[in-house]
Amino acid sequence: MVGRSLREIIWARLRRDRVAMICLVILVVYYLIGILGPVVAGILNDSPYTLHPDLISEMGGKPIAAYGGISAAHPLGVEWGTGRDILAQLLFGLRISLVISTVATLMTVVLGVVIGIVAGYSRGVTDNFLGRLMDLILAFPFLLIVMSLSGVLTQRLTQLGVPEGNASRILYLILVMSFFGWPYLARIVRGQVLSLREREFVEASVAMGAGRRRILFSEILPNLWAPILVYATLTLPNYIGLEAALSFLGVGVLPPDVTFGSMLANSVTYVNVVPTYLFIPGTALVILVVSFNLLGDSLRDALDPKGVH
Amino acid sequence: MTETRAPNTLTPSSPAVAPGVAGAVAPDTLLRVDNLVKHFEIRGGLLGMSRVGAVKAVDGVSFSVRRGEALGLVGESGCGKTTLGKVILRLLPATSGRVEMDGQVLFDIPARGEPRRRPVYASNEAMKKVRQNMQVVFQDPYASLNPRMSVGELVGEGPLVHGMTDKKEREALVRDMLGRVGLNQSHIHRYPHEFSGGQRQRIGIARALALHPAFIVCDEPVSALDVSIQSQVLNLLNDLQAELGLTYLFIAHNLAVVEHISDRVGVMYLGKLVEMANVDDIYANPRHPYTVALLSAVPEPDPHRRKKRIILKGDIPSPANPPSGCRFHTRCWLREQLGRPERCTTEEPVLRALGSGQESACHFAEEISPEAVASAVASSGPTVTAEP
Amino acid sequence: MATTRGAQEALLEVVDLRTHFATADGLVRAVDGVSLRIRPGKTLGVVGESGCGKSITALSIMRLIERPGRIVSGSITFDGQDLLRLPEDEMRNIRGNEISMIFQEPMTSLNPVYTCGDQIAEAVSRHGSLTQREAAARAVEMLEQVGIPDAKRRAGEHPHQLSGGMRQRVMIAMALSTNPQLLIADEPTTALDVTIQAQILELMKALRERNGMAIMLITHDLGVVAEMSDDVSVMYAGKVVESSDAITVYDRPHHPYTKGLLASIPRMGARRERLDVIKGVVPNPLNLPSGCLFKRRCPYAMPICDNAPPLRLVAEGHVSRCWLAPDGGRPELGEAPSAAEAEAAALTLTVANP
Ligand SMILES: Nc1ncnc2c1ncn2[C@@H]1O[C@H](COP(=O)(O)OP(=O)(O)OP(=O)(O)O)[C@@H](O)[C@H]1O
Ligand SMILES: Nc1ncnc2c1ncn2[C@@H]1O[C@H](COP(=O)(O)OP(=O)(O)OP(=O)(O)O)[C@@H](O)[C@H]1O
Ligand code: SF4
Ligand code: SF4
Ligand SMILES: [Mg+2]
Ligand SMILES: [Mg+2]
Repeated sequence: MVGRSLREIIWARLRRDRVAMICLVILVVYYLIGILGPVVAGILNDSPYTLHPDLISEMGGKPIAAYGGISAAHPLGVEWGTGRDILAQLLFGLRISLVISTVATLMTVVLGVVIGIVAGYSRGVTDNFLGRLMDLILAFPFLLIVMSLSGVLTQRLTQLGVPEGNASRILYLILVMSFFGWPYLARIVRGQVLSLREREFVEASVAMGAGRRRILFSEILPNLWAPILVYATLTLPNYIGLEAALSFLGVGVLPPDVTFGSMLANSVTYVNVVPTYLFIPGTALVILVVSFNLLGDSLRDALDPKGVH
Repeated sequence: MTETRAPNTLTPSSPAVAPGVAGAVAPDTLLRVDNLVKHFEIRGGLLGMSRVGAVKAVDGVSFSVRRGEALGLVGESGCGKTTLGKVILRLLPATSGRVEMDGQVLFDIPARGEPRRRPVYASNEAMKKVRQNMQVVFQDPYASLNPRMSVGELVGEGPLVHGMTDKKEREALVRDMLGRVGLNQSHIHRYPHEFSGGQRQRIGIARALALHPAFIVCDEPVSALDVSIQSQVLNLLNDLQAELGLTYLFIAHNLAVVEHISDRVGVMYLGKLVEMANVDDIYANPRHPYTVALLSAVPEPDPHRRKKRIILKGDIPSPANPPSGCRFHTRCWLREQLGRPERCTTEEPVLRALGSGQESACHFAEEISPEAVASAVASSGPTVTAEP
Repeated sequence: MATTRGAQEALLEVVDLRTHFATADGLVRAVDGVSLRIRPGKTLGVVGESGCGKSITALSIMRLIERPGRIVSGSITFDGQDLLRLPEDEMRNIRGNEISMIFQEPMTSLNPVYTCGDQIAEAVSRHGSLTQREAAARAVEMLEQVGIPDAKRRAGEHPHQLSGGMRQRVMIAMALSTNPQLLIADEPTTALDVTIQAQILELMKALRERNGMAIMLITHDLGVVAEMSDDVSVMYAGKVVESSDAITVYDRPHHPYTKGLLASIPRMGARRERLDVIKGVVPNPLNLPSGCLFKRRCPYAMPICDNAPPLRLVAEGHVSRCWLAPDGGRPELGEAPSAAEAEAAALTLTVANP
């Protein structure tokens, strides 16, 4: 009989967890749509940039058809004022939201893990310094800073050669999110490293003559991926929500591009007249965020060492 | 530090100043520990920047281990057994003292109060070589195996680190080791969580053996195991010693287990060795009041032998603030019997030879007699006050 | 009821207790056929290896089993009443008043935010009608009784300020403050050093003599059991496999597991080249063998052992869960188990102890 590694056991447990599997499927679908969005929109022969003035009333721009202009050609309706297709907007918007949150999460994880390991393994002065740095960053009023620096820093990015407009704004979002996000993970990782390095199996490895690199990468790191994975699955939906909030506040992506945030921001104006316009992107966002959170919780349960015999 | 020994007295001709080292640097000496000290600093104050004290976990311990023998080390929780083992293995940095393994000095750090000289440390390469020769088996069979590594990787790690890069060769070695410790060789691809405590301890032993060491520190290797499994592992350790000519430093708090496995036994109390002798002598004829009490306290698995025992008063004092003079004086029954001689509280006793190779760190070791013990037992009244 | 017959002489009688845990990985039969009897004022030692169900048995008696766990069947008769049928408020009254329990790790069962004195006073006043001041005075008195020096000062300290031995004394003081008839001590000295263990055992002996209480002493240390117990029950994989008075269990064990255990432990002053071993490992609670649970490790195993043996009387006051003949020899052919015999097994214990 071949032994099952912890990874296989955790996967087997996750497979038994129906909620986790449903969430996983939903997320895969979301990512596929994110990747294939333009293709789908192409098949539907529409794009979020195409205006349909014929579908809205000339006075005030209200969609003509019922429920926000739902029709066979535009199953989710059209936008107030421009007549752009909402399904197409969702398909494209999802893509931007996912890019921002995924890349920001990756950067957060890399920063958090590297700095956390360094802090935990070095102890002493370095650890002290990094600890204070984290405290400092966490103490910043995040929203205030992000909003006030947005203008200056996006400009700066453009000067550095990033294409003007939404490209630099997206990059700005990714950078600030990861800059303010890594300390949480770094703290978790640092704590783990501190306790792991005292564990007897690390001492056993030292007693065997293993060097520092081996200890860090072969002994300690493989024991870290569980908390990292859980943290990442819980951070990603946070970032999706954060991006929506920032776009909502006008810091994020500008028209004609759309994201969850800008769609929501647009829709609240008309919520009394066309509730579907708020309801549709809102639901899509909630499903995405909840799926991630539930998956994160299931993952945490599956990784719980108490359950691994 | 009340130890007055100078560092340059480590010559073979001065056994009187090297307590615990019976026949110092005899040709068959494998490990030699001299005046080893390990203090853990207690930091306090703002930001923990100031040193407010020290836990004197190991405080001046000297002994040597002969090639092929098993030296047992007993003592109560917190007396410094594990710390001693780890400092010898250089898993923890020593505060001062000297350790020599198979002719190689691992470190030699002057104590405070000694003439100043530069500490000596074995180089990294030398250390790596020595590590091949001295291994460790830990107490906790769960914490001491990396849960992410398979048995093959665990047992093969040492050989890999020491340059056995050929995978086939390594696997053959691992299989051989698994066979030696009585594990199924087909288990090589399994992970630690798939094994019971006793089996994990066997994996730990196989890992230690894979480097073909001469010397193994066994830190409570059976304490965490089920009673019915302990004897399996003890027999295994015995067999391996006979087969491979291993030398053990065997740390435990179970006196029956230590008696079973050891040739000589050292007893520790609050960071010091208080008695050292051959196993038969120490159990039949203990020469330190603490050893006497320790042996008397062990409940025996025989309802016919419910004996009255010496009940020590009070708790073990804190190693951060050990009693003056003899560290045992706060609980010593012999001192009470002798009418509390002042010497016990003022002068720190050193480990001294009492003839027949037995050594004790008690000023009044000669006063210990069966009658004295009997009267101590008789005066150990119940620790309850009567209901008013 | 089987229990009524023994009720006059037994303070506590457990018959065929079963407590199961429904876990994600399957049903764990943590306690699966435990019969015990404790005589008034006597000490019953319950021994067994880690995971054999000792603590769960104790918690079942106290009715403190929590959710994935459930007492499935059996009866627990204390002082004539069936605890399993008692309403919760009456049970709460018995708990702490008539049955007290002390745990292996005192730190987890003492509340870190209250002083030791407050905690004892709280236990005292919960069951009596003392004023706050009287309760506080009683707390100090209790601490003195368990041999804590400078009890007044100690009463004002928090648990973390005390050593392990002191904490265990505080636990004992708390448990005894209401003068219980039965003290359940779950590994009271396992976390302690030998010299401190000797203090605590001596203390328990003295208190037992003075208060005349019965003790259920749970431990895996055969030395502690021999030292303290009048009667001994040996547990293996959720079942009691042997019960008798202490001398009989140690001198003439019947069950092969008990025999193996006694032969395998190293003893002081009796050095041997090799220790006897019990081969194999304790079975996985999720994957128990059929028939006798000790079958795979038993040197005497025989075909009949594929049937689960009942707890049978092998001598007066001595029961064993094994098919071997009462003298330890092979059972004669034809002495195969009858259904009636297995059924009678649950009853044997009531007539077992004199
Ligand atoms: N890293 C550390 N920092 C501070 N104090 C320590 C450290 N490690 C051990 N100590 C202290 O040193 C003393 C000796 O500890 P050690 O673990 O060596 O005892 P031990 O004899 O092995 O005990 P046990 O039988 O409980 O394993 C104890 O008082 C302990 O609290
Ligand atoms: N909450 C729980 N959920 C599932 N299984 C449990 C639970 N509590 C206990 N068990 C199982 O019940 C069995 C008996 O446990 P118990 O604590 O009674 O053992 P024990 O004899 O007291 O062992 P120890 O000597 O280690 O204290 C074990 O196999 C344990 O895994
Ligand atoms: S020196 Fe004094 S206090 Fe110390 S062990 Fe001997 S008699 Fe006891
Ligand atoms: S019933 Fe059979 S297998 Fe079980 S203990 Fe008795 S002899 Fe051994
Ligand atoms: Mg230790
Ligand atoms: Mg228990």
